[in-house]
Amino acid sequence: MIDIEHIIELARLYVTEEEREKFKKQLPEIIEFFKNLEELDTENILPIFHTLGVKNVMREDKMRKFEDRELILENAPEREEDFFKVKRVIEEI
Amino acid sequence: MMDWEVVIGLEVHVQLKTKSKMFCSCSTDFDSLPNENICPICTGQPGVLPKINRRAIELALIASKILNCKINRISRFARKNYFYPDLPKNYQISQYEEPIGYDGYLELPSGKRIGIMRVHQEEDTGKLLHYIGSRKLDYSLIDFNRSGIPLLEIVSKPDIRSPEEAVEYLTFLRLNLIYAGISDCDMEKGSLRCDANLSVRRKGEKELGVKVEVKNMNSFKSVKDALSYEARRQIKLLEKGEKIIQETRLWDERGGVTKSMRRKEYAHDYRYFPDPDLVELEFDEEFLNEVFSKIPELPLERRRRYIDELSLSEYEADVFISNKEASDFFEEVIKGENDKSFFKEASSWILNDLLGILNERKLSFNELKLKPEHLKELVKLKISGKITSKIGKEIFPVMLEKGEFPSKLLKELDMEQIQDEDEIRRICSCVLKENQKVVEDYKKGKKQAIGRLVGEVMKKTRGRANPRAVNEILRNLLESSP
Repeated sequence: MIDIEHIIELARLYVTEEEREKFKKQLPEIIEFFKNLEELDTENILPIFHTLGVKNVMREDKMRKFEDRELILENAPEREEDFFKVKRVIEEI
Repeated sequence: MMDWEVVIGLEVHVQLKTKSKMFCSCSTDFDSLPNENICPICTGQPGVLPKINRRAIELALIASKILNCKINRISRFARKNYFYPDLPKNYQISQYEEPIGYDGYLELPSGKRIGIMRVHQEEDTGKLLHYIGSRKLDYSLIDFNRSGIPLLEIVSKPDIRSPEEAVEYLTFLRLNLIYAGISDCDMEKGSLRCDANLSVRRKGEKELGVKVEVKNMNSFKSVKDALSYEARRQIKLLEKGEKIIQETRLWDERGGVTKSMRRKEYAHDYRYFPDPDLVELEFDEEFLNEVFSKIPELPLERRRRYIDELSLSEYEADVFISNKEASDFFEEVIKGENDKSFFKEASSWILNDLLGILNERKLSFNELKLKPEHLKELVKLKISGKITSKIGKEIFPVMLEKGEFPSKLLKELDMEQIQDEDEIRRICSCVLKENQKVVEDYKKGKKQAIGRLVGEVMKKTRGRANPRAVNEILRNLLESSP
């Protein structure tokens, strides 16, 4: 059983009551459709994570300053001086 | 209390010692202005591509090796999904099924082995500020300088049996990570953080009790205090017949208690999956051998060498290994030397003279003007008899202050040893004349009276004569005169 409410919460989506009803029907159908894959015999096939066959892509530990930092801060929904400003999150006691 | 056994497992996060972040080239400098070290990658802009820092991987491999872990030949990164404002991508790049290392142990100096479950690589999050100075904000501010800094998570098995043992484990783990060059492990700067899982059970019980996660411990002392408190709390509840709730509790340093964390409990549903932006790492023998060949000397190896090869005492060796800066300074001083008296003398200057002064003035070794080569010369002058202990002790503070070679300072201050033997002989004769009574004592067979005379010569020369030479000259003069 798919818990649609849980998925909506995890995705942080705003979903109307109507949409909820719609998704409740659609989502299981989609999952059902994917189950077609299970018909394939994958007995001797190893899982792969990439189709490229590329491995060990790494960079040297070199520092380089990003020059357009102001641009990033400008795009913040809210800022205070050089900080990003968000709704209060309480973590400490 | 006696009937209960405390079971602790620790999760330690350390910041890896790299110049740049884990997946981008931003600086990892701690002393930067807010949001100075940010870029599209570490602020989670759409469409960016992370790229793995090779040095971070090498350090993670070294950590796994020194913690006796098995190494996954193929290692992958995974996305750990959750929403929190300090995490701009809404997922943290971490590792899940294929951590760098797993199933190892750390052997404590006591001989007890603490199992290591896994060693995995991940990235740090941004830093949230809830206060400006002491003013509590009604919003939060974020500094993303820390976002994307490489972290290593080291998870122990629940093998720790007391808060004291937890601190012992942490202390020794930290020392090893510092020596191996993996991390600075500075709790004040947040480059070492520690969370604990703690449960209690009746002695002899096989099953583990319900565990509580304890967070927000900011020093080794608070680890000990928090875990002691938490163990007592759980035992008290169980003795009253109550149940332990599995939860996360925060250590409240001021109140000296752990408190249930009242953060809204998101179902821990991280939906880990392999990060499609990062291809897998495959470590072959050659690569691993090369990385492991660079592992520096670890604390226990150094301790053994100090005792067995340099003939230092166990005490000296212990002080040195617990203070890597002092020990590294010592290494520089003794470089190229192979005389045991040199090691002893150098060790004595550092442990007995230098450390005290540094503690007093709250200085660290890199703030010192005194360089290892300066001390090296002082030790040489001392053991070759070119200066006395007294001169040594006088010149040492000047060396500290000026950061100069002792030979230069001795010349400047007219404290150099008198090389001219005739001059010493002249002073000796003079001393003999002035101390007729002592000379008579000597001649009557009281041979130790010569000590007095040597002392007088040293006083006259302000310690600038070689006592051995003075002794010989005096003896000659005394024996040759009727």
